[in-house]
Amino acid sequence: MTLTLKKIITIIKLGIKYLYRYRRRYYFLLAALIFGFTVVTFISSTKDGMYDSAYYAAQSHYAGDIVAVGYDHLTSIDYRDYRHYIKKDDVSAILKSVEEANINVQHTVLRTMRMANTVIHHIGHSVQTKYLIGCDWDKEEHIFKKMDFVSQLDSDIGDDGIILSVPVARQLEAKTGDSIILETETRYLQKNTGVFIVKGIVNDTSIFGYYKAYISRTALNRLILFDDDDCTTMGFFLKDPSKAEKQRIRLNNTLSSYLQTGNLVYNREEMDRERYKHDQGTVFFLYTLPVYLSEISDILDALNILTVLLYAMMLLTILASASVTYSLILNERSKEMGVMRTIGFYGADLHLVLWTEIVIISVISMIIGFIFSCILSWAASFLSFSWFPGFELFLRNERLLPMYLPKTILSNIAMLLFVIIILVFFQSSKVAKKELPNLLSGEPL
Amino acid sequence: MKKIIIILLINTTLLFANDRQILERLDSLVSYYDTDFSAEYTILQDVPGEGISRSVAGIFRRDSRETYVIVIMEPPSSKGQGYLKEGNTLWFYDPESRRFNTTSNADRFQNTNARNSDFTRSTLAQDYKVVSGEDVVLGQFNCRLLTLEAITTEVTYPRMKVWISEDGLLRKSEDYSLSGQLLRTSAISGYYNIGGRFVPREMLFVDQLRGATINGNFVHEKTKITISRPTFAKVADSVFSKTFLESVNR
Repeated sequence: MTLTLKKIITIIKLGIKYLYRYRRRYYFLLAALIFGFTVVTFISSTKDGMYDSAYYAAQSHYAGDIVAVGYDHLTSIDYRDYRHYIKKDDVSAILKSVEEANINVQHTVLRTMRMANTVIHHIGHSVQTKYLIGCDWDKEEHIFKKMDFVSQLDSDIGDDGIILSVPVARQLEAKTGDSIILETETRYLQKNTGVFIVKGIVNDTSIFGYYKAYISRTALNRLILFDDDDCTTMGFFLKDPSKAEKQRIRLNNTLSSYLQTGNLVYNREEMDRERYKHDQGTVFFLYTLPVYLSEISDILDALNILTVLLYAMMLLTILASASVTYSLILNERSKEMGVMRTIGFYGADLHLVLWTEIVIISVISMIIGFIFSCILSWAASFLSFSWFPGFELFLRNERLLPMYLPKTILSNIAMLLFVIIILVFFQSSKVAKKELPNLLSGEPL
Repeated sequence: MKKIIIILLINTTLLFANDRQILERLDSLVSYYDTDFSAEYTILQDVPGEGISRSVAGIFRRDSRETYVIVIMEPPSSKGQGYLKEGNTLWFYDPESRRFNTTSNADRFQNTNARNSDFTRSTLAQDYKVVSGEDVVLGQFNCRLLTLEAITTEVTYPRMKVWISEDGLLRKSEDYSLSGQLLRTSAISGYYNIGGRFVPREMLFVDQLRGATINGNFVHEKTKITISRPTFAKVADSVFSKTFLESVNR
C-alpha cells in the first residue's frame, strides 16, 4: 500500500472519529438532509409513478406502444369512430412493413373497437359502454394477465364470452355466468345484437376503463359487418418502448411505400386535422402513446413545473440549512482545526476530513430519507383523489403509486451530493485559508 | 304438379306485389311531399321505478326536401336544444355550448325510447322488402301483418313487422335487430285526418330490453308521444337552417 493511500485512509478514519465525537452537533444538519431527501424523492417518484400509470393505462387501452389506425374515406358515414377500418390485405401490408423496418416488436395486437352506440342489457338494466373492444384472447393474454379480475377469469372465453368492467357489471347487476344482450350498430349504423355470457369482471379504474367491455374480435366483426380478419387498430408492443418515436418514423417511411399514409402527428389537434386532409381511400396513421396522451400533456407539464419548483425549493432549503448549521459547527471547531494545521495537516487534508464527515452524514440521510419517502408514498396511496377530475388517469388500481426509477434516484443523489460537496468546499476552504494565529485564537471563520 | 307450383308462385308474387302496394300507400298517407308540416309533440318517458318525465318539442317537416327541424321547448334544462336534418346529416344543437354536433338517426331522441328516425317521413316501401304477409286481427282492426327486411343499409332497424289496417294506416310495428332480436314495439292509437292527410294522434314506444322488475313483474320502459296542433301551413324556409336553431335561443 502506497504512503498516499495510507494517509488518505487514516484521514478518512479520523473523519469518522470526528463525526462520532461531534454527532450531537450534526443532528440538526442530519434532520435537514433527511427531510430534504425525503421530499425530493417523494416528489420525483410520485411524478414518475403518475406518468407510468398513465402510460400503462394508455398502453393497455390502445394496445401497444405504436398504434396503426386506418381511416376509411370510402365509408360515407362520418360519425364517431365508424371510419376506423383496416382490411385484411392492409393488415398484411402493415405486418410486412414492420418486418422490413426491423421494428423490435414483442407483441402485435389487432383490435376492433366501438366507441359509441353500444348498449349492454341485462334483466331490464341497460348500460351504454364507452369502449367495446373486440380482441383476440390468446394474442392479448399478456394484457389480460396484468388485469385485476374480480373473479377468476374463465380460461375459455370464446366468441360468445364477454368481459365487463366492474361499474358496468354493477349497474347491470350481472355476475360471471350471466347471459347479457349486447346492442350495437353495424358499420352502416343499423341495429344489431348478440347474446353473450359474462366470463369475467375486470377492475379497471383507469380513465379508459369505466364503461368498458371486451368481446372476441371475430364476434364484434360479425356484429358490425366487418370481415373476420378486419380490424380497426393494430398495436405494437415494443421490446424497448423508449425507442417508440424513432421506430414510428422508420415504420411510417416503410409503410408509405405500400399504403397511403398520413403525416406523423404529435398531438390530438394534429391528429384530427390530418385525418380530414385526405378524402380518398384509406389513410393509415401511426400514433405513439404520447400522441394519444397529449390531452393530458398540459397536466403533466404543470406537474413537471411544480416538481421542478418544489425540487429547487428543497435544494435551496437544504443548502441554506446545511450552510448555516455547518458554518456554526466549523466555528465551534476552529481552534481544533488550528491545532490540526499546527501539527502538520495541509488544507487538502482538512478538506478530506470534513468531506468524509459530510459524505457519511449524506449517505445516512439518503438511506433514511428514502425509507421515509417510501412510508410517505405508502400513506399517500390510501388518499382519495376523487375530488380531482380526471386524476384517475394517474392512478393504478385507484392508488397513487410511486415509481423509483434508478435514473431519477441517482440524479437525486448526485444533486444532493453536489450541493453538499460545494457547500463543504467553501466552508472548509475558509478553515484552510484562515491565518493560523487567528484560527487558534478562536476568531470566527 | 308444375301447374300448381306455377300458380303458387304467381299467387305469392301477386301477394307480395299487393303487400308492396300496401306499404307504398302507407308511406303516401303519412308523408307530405306537397306541403310542410308542423306540430307540437308532448313526450312522456316512463322509466319503471324512476317515474315519468315530460318533454315538449316543436316539429317542422318539409318532406319534399327530406328535412326537418325539432326544437325542444320543455323541460327547462333542455330548452333550446334542437335537431336539424340536412340531407344525410342530422345535426344536434346544444345552446349551452352553442355548438352543432352530428348525431345519428339511430340515436335515442332525448334519451327516450323514440329514435331520431321516428320523426322523419315514412319510406318503408323504399327501404324494405316484404318477406311475408298474413291477415290478422289487432284489437278492433283487421290488419295485414307484413314482415319486412331492409334493402338498404340506411335504416335503423334491419328487420320489422308492421300491422297495417284496412284503411292503409300503420297500427303497430315491431323493430328487430339484424340478428332478429326484438328491440322495440310501437303502437299508434289513432290518426288526425286533415284534408286527406293523416297524422298520428298518439304513439307508444315500448322498449323490449330496458325496464325493471317491480313486484315480481317485468315492466318495460316506454315513451308516449302525443301530437297536438298539427298543421300543414307553409313553414318559412329560414326555419330549416342552423341559424334558426341559434336564433331560437336569443
